[in-house]
Amino acid sequence: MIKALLYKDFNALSRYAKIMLVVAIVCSFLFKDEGASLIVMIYAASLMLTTMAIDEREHFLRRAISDSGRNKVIIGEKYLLLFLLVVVGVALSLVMELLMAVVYKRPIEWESLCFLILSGFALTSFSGGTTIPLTLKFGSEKARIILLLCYMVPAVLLMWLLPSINLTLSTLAISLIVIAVSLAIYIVSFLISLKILDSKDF
Amino acid sequence: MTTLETKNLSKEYSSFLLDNINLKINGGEITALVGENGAGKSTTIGCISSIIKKTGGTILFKGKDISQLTSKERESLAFAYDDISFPLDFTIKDIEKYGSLLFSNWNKEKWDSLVKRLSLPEGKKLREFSKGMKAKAEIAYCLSHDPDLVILDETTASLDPVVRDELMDLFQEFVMDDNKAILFSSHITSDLEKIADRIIFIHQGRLVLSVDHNELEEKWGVAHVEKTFPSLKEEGVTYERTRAYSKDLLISDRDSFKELHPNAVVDNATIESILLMIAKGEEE
Repeated sequence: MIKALLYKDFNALSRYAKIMLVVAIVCSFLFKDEGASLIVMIYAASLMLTTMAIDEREHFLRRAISDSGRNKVIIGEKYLLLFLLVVVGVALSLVMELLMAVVYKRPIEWESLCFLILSGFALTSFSGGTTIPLTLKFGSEKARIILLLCYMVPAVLLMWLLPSINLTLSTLAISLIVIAVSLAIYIVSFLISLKILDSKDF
Repeated sequence: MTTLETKNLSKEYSSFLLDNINLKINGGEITALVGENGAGKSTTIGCISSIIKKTGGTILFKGKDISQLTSKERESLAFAYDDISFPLDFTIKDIEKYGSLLFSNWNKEKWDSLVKRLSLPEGKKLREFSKGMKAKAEIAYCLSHDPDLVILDETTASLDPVVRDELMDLFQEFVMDDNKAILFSSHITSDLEKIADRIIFIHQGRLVLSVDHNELEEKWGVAHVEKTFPSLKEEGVTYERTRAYSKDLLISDRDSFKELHPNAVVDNATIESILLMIAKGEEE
């Protein structure tokens, strides 16, 4: 079943793939540094909301549930899609980074690039992890507005708290924390989404 | 053989109650689910398909609780709705690809023959399809994974008579196999008169009548009598509808009623006349 759902979603996103490529190229030339990677990854993950908006418009969940009755698989596919979109975003940004390094004849800052990719992974995990249950619960239009708050609140909190935290951690430790937190977000988000779908009427 | 059975199926909303629906769908039959708008037809079907969470009761498919079916057993069920639920950028080929990935018993030959028979355009996207084409595509998809039970929820509601006639032929062919059944929710009673073997009437969330179509045609009637005429349950009066200067009585045995009241005007009942009596009349 997952293959069928992925086929449906990638088919729906095919027209956006060209836009993503354009975004990647434009951002790489505009920013000329690793910042473009973050934008490309975020754009890739935001396509999650696009697929859910399409599902909502076409009443696709009604079809999926009627055909299979397997809510876990339906929800699981969304998280797998999110992960695949993030991987595509990471791959695309890496390619663009390498190309820009060649074009502008600058050395590749591997450590900062890895750190940025890790940050992007964490950010996109958070964004996707909040997008899916919010969209299931409130619909795509309301979810977009609520998502703004989901980004603003933690950003403000971090800006307020970080200066007062005196913590020196190695890159490896930070990487492990980021991966662990992202994984936790995926798991908690999946369980919340499943609960929403299990109790929702279509 | 009972293909599908619901026992005390209930769903409670704040302003509506689907109340203890007990219905049986038999193999080799087309069962019509009839009722006015808001009667509970879609809620009943929604509970069976799991898109609506029931608050009580059991649904059994071939004797097994529907929530316990394996993926393979679930493939024997097919649901068609009033509008196609695929992305509008899908083409016929995409639907076929999706179906073949989803169902282990997807029948490509069946799909190809249905696409040809229903003249579905292969190169166009669904957004370019007419309403009739979308309904035909929906039904072709449902029939192509060899289900044993097809449930249609107002699928033909806004189609022209030509398309509906085409689809009625398809449904009749489908149930020629005694292992196959159709549950067909519709308020287009003319279609149901043509193909339904059994009719189930739902009104205000309750199953009020379940009758074999032959029995309905041979025995049921609507008597047009004076307002003062006594409405007696013992004489087979089930519903009474008071009009300005007369009243109508829904009779379960018109021949017996005519023997008792030879002067009474009694028409043969139709699905539509029974639906009107149930919706507008009072139960005896």
